[in-house]
Amino acid sequence: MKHKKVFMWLSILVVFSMIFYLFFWMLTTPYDLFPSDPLRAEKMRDAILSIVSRKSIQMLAMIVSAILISSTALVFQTLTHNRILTPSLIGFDAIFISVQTAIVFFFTSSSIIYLNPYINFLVASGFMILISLSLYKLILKNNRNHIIFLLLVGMVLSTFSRSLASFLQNIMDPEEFQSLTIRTEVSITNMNTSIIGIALPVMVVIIVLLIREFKHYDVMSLGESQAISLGVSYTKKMNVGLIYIALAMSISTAMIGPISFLGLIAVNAAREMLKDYKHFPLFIASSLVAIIFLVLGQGIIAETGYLTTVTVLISMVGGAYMIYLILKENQS
Amino acid sequence: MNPNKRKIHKRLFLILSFIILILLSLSIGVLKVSISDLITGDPQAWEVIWVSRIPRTIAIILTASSLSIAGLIMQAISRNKFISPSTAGTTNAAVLGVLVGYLVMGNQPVVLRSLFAFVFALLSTFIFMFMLKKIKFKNVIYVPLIGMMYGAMISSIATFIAHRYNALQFLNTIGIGGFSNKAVGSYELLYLVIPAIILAVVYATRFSIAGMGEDFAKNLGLKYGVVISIGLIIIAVTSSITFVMVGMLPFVGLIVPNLVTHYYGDHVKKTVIDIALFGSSFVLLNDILSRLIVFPYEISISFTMGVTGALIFLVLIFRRMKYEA
Repeated sequence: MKHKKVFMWLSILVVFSMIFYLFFWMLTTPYDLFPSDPLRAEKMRDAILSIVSRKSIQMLAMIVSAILISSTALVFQTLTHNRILTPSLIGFDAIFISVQTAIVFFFTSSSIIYLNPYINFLVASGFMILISLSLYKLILKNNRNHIIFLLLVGMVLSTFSRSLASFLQNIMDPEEFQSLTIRTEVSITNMNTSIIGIALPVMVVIIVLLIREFKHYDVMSLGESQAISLGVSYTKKMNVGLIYIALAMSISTAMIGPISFLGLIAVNAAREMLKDYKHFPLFIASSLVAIIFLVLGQGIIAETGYLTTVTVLISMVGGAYMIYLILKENQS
Repeated sequence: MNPNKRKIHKRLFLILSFIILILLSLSIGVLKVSISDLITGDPQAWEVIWVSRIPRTIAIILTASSLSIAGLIMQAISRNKFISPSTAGTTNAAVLGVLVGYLVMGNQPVVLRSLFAFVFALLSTFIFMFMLKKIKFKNVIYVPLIGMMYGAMISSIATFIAHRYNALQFLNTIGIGGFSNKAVGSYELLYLVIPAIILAVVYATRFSIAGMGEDFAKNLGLKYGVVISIGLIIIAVTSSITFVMVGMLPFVGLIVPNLVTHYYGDHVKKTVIDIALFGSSFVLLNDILSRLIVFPYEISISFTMGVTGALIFLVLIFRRMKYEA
């Protein structure tokens, strides 16, 4: 089987990236990790353990986010019948920033909604889900096939909310603004791992629910009229899928920040490797690719002294890949 | 009423509101200037008008009209109503240009800064137009989304370079601006957009023809490549100069042409003046709003434009959606 071979190579690469991320620093560190003095050896062991466990938590967050981002991108491409669009275009990061800004502005940075990471996470993602759901309702209620309009409206709304947020940030107290940046500048290098205890179970549940829908999406990728005549309630399944996408995007944005091109790279790479249309194998391959990109990328960048950030790297690679896809699409 | 008469009425109304907005813009400010002072020839009042109020108003008119015309040309030659310099990566490329200029030559005069922005904006617009030709699935909304992603890629290159050379702080200051500091001595470079505006008016008919498609335009004897290049140069000049001088003005190039062509049709020659007038009035109104909301302070015009522009654009999208459905 061709699939098996691809999965095997990707899995080997994933394991390699994980080991690289967790342990490579040991080879480059200037300290002697295994001193002969027993007292120092014990201290060093504790230090190594704490570093590895911190890195493991970060890696766990990256892996789950990678799976979420690639699977939602996959579903989104099926729903839009387009291989280049990703749900990150709706602009969840702008909504996230303006929700956090509004919390600090109206409740101050010493309020429990801001300080407690769990409550803050629940409020922020609750708002993001609410906004995206009302957007869906407004646009998809009458005209079902307007997901592309949805993207455009999302794009405009993100400019709108960014303007509003920067206005509030301008007129707020400078100290409040300082404490606001802790929450708004989330990225891979500055992950908000304090919410992992609550985000992780939710993410796993979403992934399981999405996998259960895959058989419907297989049919839906044939097109709306075919899917309906084959007995899939197209509109309902589409709305459910969009709700999962909103949930997943809000959570991953709150935890590791926006990574716009990751879904595009992962899903298209998986499609090229497998040459398959079924969602389940595509899901596995694209998740593995996304994990490799995030974990290995972050590992290499950490080792090279943070010359850049993974987000920037992925945007550059992804942008070039997008242009390549457009040009290739034209030739075929 | 016959349609011709209605059109004239609309134009009269447009000119009238334009004049009223200019007068309003001249009269608002922290220093009180009354008409009686001006009539009696109070030197202080006249100085305020000459040094600060008139430059600001001129800056607004030049910026707004040139940006709206650039948007019109871009929409005409790409045959897409949702494309503008800000949804096709042109603005992002201007940021990259300013950054590269800063890294190569350090702090430089505005003229050089604009030159760097111009070169990068022009290059990126050419690349985008090339991509546009290659896109198979030319959905009206799909194309600007590709443009946005293309812009995001250019921005990430800028972030990459800035990160590498410790210029992230400088990068964050690019594009922040407004009309509040425009006075004698700090706005004159904006006069450079006047030749671009004149060129746009002269070439107006040719842009409309180019918008009918390459083969058709060539059949009519148009030098298609030359006309497109001139259009792109106009777009790059206006967007880079206004970007360096006054910063980001979201939505101007997008919604002004859309609103005007909705009433006057797509013939560039017939709409170009109305678009300049309407764009100026729109930005003047926004500038007046941002001066009044927290008077005597000011809020950034990018914020006001972001809010009012987004609302108008949403209305446009929903109308389009009904039409497509």
